[in-house]
Amino acid sequence: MIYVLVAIGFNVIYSTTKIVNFAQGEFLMLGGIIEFILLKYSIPIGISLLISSIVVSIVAIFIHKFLISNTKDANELSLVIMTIGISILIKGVIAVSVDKDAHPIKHFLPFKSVSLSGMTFSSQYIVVMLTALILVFLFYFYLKNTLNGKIMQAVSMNTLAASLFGVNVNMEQMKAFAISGFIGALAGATIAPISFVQYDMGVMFGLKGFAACVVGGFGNNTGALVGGLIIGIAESLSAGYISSSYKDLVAFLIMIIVLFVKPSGLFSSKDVERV
Amino acid sequence: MLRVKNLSVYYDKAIALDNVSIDVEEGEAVCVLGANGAGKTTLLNAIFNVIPKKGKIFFNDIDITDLATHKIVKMGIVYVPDKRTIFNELSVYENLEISAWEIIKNKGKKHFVKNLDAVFEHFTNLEEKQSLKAGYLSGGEQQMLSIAQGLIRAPKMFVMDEPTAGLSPKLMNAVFDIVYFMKKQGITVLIVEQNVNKTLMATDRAYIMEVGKIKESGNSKDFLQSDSIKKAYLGG
Repeated sequence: MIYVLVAIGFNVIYSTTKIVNFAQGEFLMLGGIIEFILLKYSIPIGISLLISSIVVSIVAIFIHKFLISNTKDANELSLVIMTIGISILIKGVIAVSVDKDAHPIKHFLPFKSVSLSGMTFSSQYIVVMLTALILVFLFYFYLKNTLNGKIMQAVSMNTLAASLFGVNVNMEQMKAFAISGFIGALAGATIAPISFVQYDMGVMFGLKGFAACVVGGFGNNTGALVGGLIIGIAESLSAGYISSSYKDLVAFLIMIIVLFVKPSGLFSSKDVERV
Repeated sequence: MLRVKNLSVYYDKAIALDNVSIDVEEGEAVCVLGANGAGKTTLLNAIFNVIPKKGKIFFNDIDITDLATHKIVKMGIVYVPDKRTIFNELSVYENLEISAWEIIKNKGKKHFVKNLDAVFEHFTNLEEKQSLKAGYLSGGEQQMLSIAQGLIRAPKMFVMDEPTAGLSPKLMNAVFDIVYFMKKQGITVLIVEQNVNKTLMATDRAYIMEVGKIKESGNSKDFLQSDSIKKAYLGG
């Protein structure tokens, strides 16, 4: 489920800006790190979740405002490369200003593990699952049922048309970065008790979320949901039936297979265009 | 109402628009005619700041030369470019909702529905298909939707780039009917077209362009009667 959130984070930015934001994993890491710092000062979990998501949204807005939208003569490729640079920069800043160690975070629920029909798993998975479900639902609702959400979709479908109808495209793109940062941070903060927080925790999550996007079809949110689930389930199954040391391999193997069979992803939207 | 002064546009080093000046008075219908590559689309894109340019542009005596596209259209001008302004994956209704989002936000849903009903009077086809995805409409219907999206914004001025390109004669007439309707409503119209006769009939004044320059300007009626001008610039 965590990959679903990362994949949606990728999608939000990609669909409005056509940029693949390789700093998405770092949004997740920042969410975890900020939460860890806040919890150290014994701030309640709910509040620290909220604060870390808002702070990361603000970081994302800054990235858009000062780095992305100020780049001269930018094309998509140079901006994608810039996001890779931003990702390295964020990792570096955290490694220097916090540290490079892995820090444990308490489970959110009072009990550590749950047993269900013979299987025992960490109670945090329930939190992750619920958070992802709620966020996915809210995000879908926003896109499909609110005027602001529809405007955001409109920008991703036809940028020129949207600006001709008075939509401030730059503002919509900034909003996309903020939403993406918010979702990323929440994902990072909820997964933290399972994965530990560390300055480079975002790398693998980011890459696998990227794989989920590729599997589902870039820019398609249903695709992100299905792609994320496929990658997550395949990983758990391979860890259970083969060996957990191969689980990273499986995620990327699936991505490569999809790229071979249907390069545009399972849910790629056919662009209907008539002349 | 719209004053364009000494507008020039360069693509790399090639000049696409060479010192072009045009004026459109309030309530007037003006057309820009010319062959392919004359710079007609470039002129409109430059006015709406979609491409970089040199020169000055005023709308109602306000300098809009360097204003962002989304701010220019907020002043009550609508631009329907040759590339359609529809959102394929959204329904016809949602397409209209988005084009009129400011009306919904500032004046409320009721005002929007009123405008919608008025627009549907001219586009009965679209009314029947309002829940269909815009991408599934025929080419002609998509063009109509683009115009409807502009009309629902209740503009003071309506700018169109080749609205009849690729349309059947019947739909072409429908487009010109809308131009006549806009004139009756007092909406100022600026239209770029290749369909010479019908456009001259529907408009008050005309500019004729050739390779980036304005070659002739005058009353549409006079051009309609002058064979020499039609032959010289407009291919008969």
